[in-house]
Amino acid sequence: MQTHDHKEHLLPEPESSIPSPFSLNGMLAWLTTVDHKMLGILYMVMALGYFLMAGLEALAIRIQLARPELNFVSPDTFNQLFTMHGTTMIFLALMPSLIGFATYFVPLMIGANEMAFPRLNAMSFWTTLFGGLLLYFSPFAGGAPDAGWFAYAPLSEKNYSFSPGLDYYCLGLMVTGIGSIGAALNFFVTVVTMRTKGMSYMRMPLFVWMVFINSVLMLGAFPLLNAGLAMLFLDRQFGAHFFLADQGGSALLWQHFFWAFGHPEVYILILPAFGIISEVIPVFSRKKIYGYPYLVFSAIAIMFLAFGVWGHHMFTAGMGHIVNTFFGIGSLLIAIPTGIKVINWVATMKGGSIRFQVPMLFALAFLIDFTIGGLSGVTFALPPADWQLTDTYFVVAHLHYVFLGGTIFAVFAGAYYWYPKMTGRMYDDRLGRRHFWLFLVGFQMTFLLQHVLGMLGMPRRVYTYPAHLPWYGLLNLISTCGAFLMGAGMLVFLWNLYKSLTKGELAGNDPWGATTLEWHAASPPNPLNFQLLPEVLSKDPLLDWGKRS
Amino acid sequence: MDLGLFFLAKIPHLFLGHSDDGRTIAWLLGICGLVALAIFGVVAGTLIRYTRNYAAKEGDDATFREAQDEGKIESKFALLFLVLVVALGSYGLTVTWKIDAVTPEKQQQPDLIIIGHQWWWEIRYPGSEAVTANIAHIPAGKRLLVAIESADVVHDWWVSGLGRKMDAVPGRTNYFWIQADQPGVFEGACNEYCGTQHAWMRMEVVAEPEEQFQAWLNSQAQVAQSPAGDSAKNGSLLFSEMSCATCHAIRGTTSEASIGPDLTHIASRSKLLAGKITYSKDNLKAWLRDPQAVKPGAHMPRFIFDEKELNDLTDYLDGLK
Repeated sequence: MQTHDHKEHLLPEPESSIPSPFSLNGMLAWLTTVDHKMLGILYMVMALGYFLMAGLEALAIRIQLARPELNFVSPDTFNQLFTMHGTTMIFLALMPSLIGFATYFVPLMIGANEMAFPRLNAMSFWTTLFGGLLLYFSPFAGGAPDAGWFAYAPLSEKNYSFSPGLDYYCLGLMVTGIGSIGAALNFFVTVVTMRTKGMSYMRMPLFVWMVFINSVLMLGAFPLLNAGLAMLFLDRQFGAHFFLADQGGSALLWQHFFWAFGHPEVYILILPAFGIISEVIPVFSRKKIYGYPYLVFSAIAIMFLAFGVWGHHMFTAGMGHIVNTFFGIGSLLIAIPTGIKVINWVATMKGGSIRFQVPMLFALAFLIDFTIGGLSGVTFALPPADWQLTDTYFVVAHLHYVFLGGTIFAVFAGAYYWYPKMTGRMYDDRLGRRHFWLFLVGFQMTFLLQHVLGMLGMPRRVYTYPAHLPWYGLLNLISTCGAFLMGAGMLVFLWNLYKSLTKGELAGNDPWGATTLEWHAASPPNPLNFQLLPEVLSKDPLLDWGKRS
Repeated sequence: MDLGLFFLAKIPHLFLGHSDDGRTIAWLLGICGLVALAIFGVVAGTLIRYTRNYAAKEGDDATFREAQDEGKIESKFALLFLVLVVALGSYGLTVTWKIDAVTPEKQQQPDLIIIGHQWWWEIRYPGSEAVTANIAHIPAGKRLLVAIESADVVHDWWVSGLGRKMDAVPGRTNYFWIQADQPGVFEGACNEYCGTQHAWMRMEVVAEPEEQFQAWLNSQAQVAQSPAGDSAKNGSLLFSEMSCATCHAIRGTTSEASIGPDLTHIASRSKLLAGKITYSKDNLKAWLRDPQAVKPGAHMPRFIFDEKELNDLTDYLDGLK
């Protein structure tokens, strides 16, 4: 024990520690931490960094496409840009942001003081970060990967892509994949073993449920990706021929491996977003969530179905009738549990008292965007519709409605919702609303009309388009303008994050009057989240405890 | 009935079918779209209604209201979704089975063989010597079986309205049907990302009346015209002396390679380089002078011809009608 007897010292001791890399909040603390809250923040900061990077790549893409036959970037640069944009968004921005929220809030929400494996938690973060840096080293090593984020063989083979970009893609994604598997394992064990007294499975917050189900998806999907990447790497570096048809391999094999991972990955990116929405909507509607068990079991149904639908990415590959029929039915079925979720969220608002705070605005926009993205997705489940729409800009619109209008809007909802908890201060409401409107209008401008471009037959991943095609130029120009509005929205968001850290109003433990356990902890939570927790009696423990006291 | 009429009929789009298959798919898309719009309307309408009716009012307390009647509407909607899924699914799968080229038909001789290359389409007509590139001529009014292959990476043939899109996958042969009821020119593009010049891997299908098509096919099946004039003769010598012949074929000469497009009747094509340039002597010359300046990344090397050689070669190729 250290005593504070000043008489024993010749010089007065400072009241607080001087800034030092060894202090609680110094650099070294962040580098060596195994605390789930610090790692959660690290994940989110990393995701934000990669998101900005991918956003800049997107802006370059949109400038090149603003007018027909522009030469803003060369064809090869363009192909590297969209490959890096997709890869970065999926693996380094969307996933880490969701994993970051989960790392921070899953222990808090189940009344635990730490993740089950704190060191594995740190390892997962650092491998994800370094995997991403490996990918981003590729431009300095001779060229970024240029075969699209799903790197179809044999275009991704050495014969057709000579630069080392795809080798970095294989290695970088394998490394981040290991990080994701570590994180998934950690969430699973944490939820199974670390719940506080009375926190039965059916009392867990829906965000925890979604992360829990998601961890199973991740554990199933990522080994498939890593196996495929290992084969591709062997092909490229050691002369194997897994995917080279002229040497006895199969180009379709890569597609099967990739999409057997890739379609579960789509749900990996959306389930935690469902979780965030399921937290935000009840709190700001002052209404308990409608149909809790339905939300849980529909997500479990999605998890199982997710592994049986990947073939709908390959309806044009010539797999034959029987296979197309199987995957068509599987993909259609997944619309049922997904639809039920939307019904539940909307029904939650009925009879409530809705407060249009920034998190709620983003959640409402999520509902609209995700409904559009989900409905346009159903068309891809019908093979003949897919034969027309796939690989056109309709797909680009669809996937951005799901990932950007869906996942990213949910991430923003979560960021505003939990900002007071993570920093102890409120965000600036006015800036938050500006961010919302800029981003929403920009998003619709960019992607709504891309549905039309797809229907007019514009293929995706083209670095330019012929000037004689009607409407292409105008629609693309509007799309580009929208992208810049989103960029402006992001600047407002960054400024808000930075300014509110020091200037925001003090938030207190539970500024929203929410009912889940993370709001019982201090804002920001102490290093030890909870000293002592009463028994949890329902899925809204703070309500029960409030009534008792 | 032509669904295309409901929309702007002047410009090509997905709802414009030019054959039975094209219209069948267009109807499926249209009905899917209407169902989707209806569902979206219901969801968005309900959301707007709820956000208006249940917005917090002055004096609302912050207590949590209990959820009412949980489980009642879910089962109703689940049933509704199931009905929709079964209806759309059986409709979609019926169409799938109807317009996909199935196994017994694969034993039939295809009418066209299309081979995807980085970044152009090779088009062959079984039973005829004719070989062309990027611009496929077909007889109007006939349903044609197409076999599609790839020489390198995965490509995808799509001319909307004439039929489905189909991948060209290395090591496999895929089959599909195309048909154009009326004569006309239909544009399409490669739909599977295939490398640097994916954007300029476009194609045209020219549908013609039967006799006109047969005439075209017969003329394309002929060997190349012999060069007329000194310049063209020099050009023909250059063609075989330089490495042109290692990649290109000109039937009737010693050049027989099939890595690049067959040039036997190059001057009869309206566009070159898979849609990148229109055919003219000047464009051809610019391409020969510096291929990378015209279509960066294309596999045609730059030969550093002098001006006379360029003129001779262009004259020779321009004579290959």
